[in-house]
Amino acid sequence: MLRSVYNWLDKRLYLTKLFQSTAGHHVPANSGSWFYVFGSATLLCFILQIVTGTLLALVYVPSTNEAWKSLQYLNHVQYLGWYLRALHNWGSNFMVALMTLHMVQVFLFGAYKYPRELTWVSGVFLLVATLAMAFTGQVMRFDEDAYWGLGIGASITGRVPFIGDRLVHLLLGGPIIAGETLSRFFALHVFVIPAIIIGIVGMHLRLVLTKGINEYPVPGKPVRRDTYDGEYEKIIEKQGVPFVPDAIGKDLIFAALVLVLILAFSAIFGPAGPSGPPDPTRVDTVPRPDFYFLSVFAALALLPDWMETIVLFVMPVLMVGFLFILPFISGTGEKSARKRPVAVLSVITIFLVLGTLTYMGDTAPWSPKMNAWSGQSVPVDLLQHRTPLEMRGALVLQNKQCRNCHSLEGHGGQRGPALDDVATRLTRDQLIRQVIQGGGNMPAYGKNLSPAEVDALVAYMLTLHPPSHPPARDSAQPQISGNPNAKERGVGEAVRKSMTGKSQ
Amino acid sequence: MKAAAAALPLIALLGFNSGCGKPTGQAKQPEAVMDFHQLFSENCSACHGVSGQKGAGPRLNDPLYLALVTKQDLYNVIEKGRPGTPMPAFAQSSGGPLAEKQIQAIVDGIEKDWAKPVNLQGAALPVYSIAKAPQGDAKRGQAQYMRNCMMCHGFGSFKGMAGPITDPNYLALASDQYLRTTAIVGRIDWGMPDWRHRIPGHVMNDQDISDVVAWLASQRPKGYMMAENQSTNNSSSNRSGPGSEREPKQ
Ligand code: HEC
Ligand code: HEC
Repeated sequence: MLRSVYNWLDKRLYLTKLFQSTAGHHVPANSGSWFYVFGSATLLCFILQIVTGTLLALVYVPSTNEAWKSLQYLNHVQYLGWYLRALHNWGSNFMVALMTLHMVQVFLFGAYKYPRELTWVSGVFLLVATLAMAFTGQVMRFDEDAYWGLGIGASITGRVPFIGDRLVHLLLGGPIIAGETLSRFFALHVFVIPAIIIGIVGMHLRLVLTKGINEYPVPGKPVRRDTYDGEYEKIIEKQGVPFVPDAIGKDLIFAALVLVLILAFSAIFGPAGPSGPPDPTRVDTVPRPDFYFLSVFAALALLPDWMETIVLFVMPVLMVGFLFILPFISGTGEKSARKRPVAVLSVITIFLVLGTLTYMGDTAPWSPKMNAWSGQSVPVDLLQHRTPLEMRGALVLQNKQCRNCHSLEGHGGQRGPALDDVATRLTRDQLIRQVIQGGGNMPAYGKNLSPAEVDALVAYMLTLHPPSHPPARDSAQPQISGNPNAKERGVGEAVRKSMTGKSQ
Repeated sequence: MKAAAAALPLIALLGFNSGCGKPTGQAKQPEAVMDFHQLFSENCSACHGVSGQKGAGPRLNDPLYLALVTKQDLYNVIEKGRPGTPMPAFAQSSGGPLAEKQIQAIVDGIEKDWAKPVNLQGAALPVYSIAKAPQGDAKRGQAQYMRNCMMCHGFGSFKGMAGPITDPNYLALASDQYLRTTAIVGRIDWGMPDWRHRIPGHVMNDQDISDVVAWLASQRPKGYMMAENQSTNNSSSNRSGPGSEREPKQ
């Protein structure tokens, strides 16, 4: 009776065939090794992230005013809400770590070589997408760490030649980090990137099925394009076992272990943040990104300015690009790590560099220079012949920690442009606007500056130009100078904007 | 066995990161620093100048000023800051970065390194604290201003070579105590003479100084200052720390 029901269903749904071609497909017996468990564990993490993420989305409110509060609610009010957050957080940490292990294993085992190039390429896409998830996820916390992560991310983006500004605009939903920014990242984190990941995972898995799992590499048996397919078929014929139930055992054990570890880590270490609420003027806090990005930020902090652009744009493009073309430039040859010293060495080097940078990022304060505001004096010749008001402006500049991002005579943070000759670039109105509305990676100070402070600050900045080079004139900005009330209008409008746009 | 071996590096990898799991949001404070020069150069030199002078803020490396103030005066300002001005509160109890003993080290260092006996040339040292000084009279103050200050700071459309101190936005950011301090000791480092040397043969007295400060304070935009107009000591610290939000009372 049951049998006939099954047969009826099978005739229509091809269940047996489906099983045979997927879970039941034959894999080389020696690939049922402990080294082969990381891929499935990564997938497990991803599924866990979908489940916990969906649950989080039930409470989370993606608005600047509510996001931080709803996380506080989860942490302190909602029963086990903190645990849910912890699971999502640790699930993400584990996913990144396992994915990395998986990738290293695939690389060292030569599994990316012919004929599995596309499996590797789709994997690289997954790497990028997963890191994008991790980044957008840390923005969801919308605390000070997120704010700074975003700020720095935006400043990196802003340096893309030619289209930098537009990219920043696209990314942030405007010139500054505000409500639109969070909505955008929410959409990315919850809809767009997961959909992409699910799609690519499907392709990744299908390629794993159709092209087979890499056999355990044997030193001295190089891959050749013309013979490999035949050899692999022979291996499967001779010692192939069905993935389910024979080869899956270790995956299941490892998956259980990962699950237990995630549960335990979540219970022991709890969720991440949210740290202080995002307040652009509190530069004296030490926000830091999640650990997988620490290395990038450490590199940023340590590099001399002129190298930043190279390291930020050229290196990632080169690295990801290299990953993409790897199977095409070394698609054949030895698979075993024992015969590939260069491969092993490069893995070790990369991890040492990343590890060192992460360690530095974790221990050293990174840019912006957190104590420039109180430690870098205003150069004497930039104070000479200033009026008392302008002097106070210099003090406001220090007090409001502008120096943490802006240098004077080479001293101070390098996040923003040096201000030594800012008066040659910006007019009074533009200076007011920049201070109040921010822009690029500069926080909007808005209501955090009193009108007197703005006035003093701008008065001082207007004195910052070389004697030979006159300050910028309003006439370059006819639309502003045409209005006698431009200053008042500018400030009022900017304050209004920053108040409606920014979190309280 | 093998499973444990595979899991160990994983645990190690994540273990070092475990600190991230806990919300801290607190800057790490290097409280260990007790050296005066390091403390001063990291916390004060930005505004008060590299060695306590030629900064945009008041000159602290000034024997005359140090003859005027007590250690307690210094301590109070550093502890609580001057709300409404760019002088931030440094005590941890006021949300600042420094421990009490560090503030004390700064005060001791300032006195030890920079205080010297001063020759008052027969003039009496005026009172420092605005709380203990005689009540000022703004009307008389204007006359004193015209007499003692106008040449350099101007009046009306005459700007003066040192720039106006009657600018409302300037006054909104400077406390009465600072005005009094500067009226007494001047800014020798920037070329402003002290209370004895403004007009040949004339020494401003306590009352003159109070009057000038009262007149300047009356030029300040309405509603701008400031709890500690009366005293440097009662600055009810409404600030949460350097750079934190501070709304002018409108
Ligand atoms: C978080 C770091 C940061 C802080 C703090 C900061 N800025 Fe900026 N600032 C920037 C960046 C980045 C830019 C470049 C913005 C852009 O790309 O348009 C900038 C640009 C500017 C400009 C325009 C300079 C030019 O040449 O175009 C001015 C003026 C300015 N900032 C003034 C200030 C003042 C005044 C403060 C303190 C009240 C301040 N900034 C605080 C990062 C910062
Ligand atoms: C961000 C700039 C800034 C920093 C940093 C700063 N100060 Fe000040 N300080 C000021 C300003 C501005 C004033 C004058 C405030 C006023 O108008 O009363 C001032 C006033 C003072 C006064 C009182 C002067 C008087 O009127 O008698 C003392 C003392 C002082 N500061 C000590 C320090 C010490 C010590 C440090 C370092 C721990 C420090 N300040 C750091 C800006 C600063």
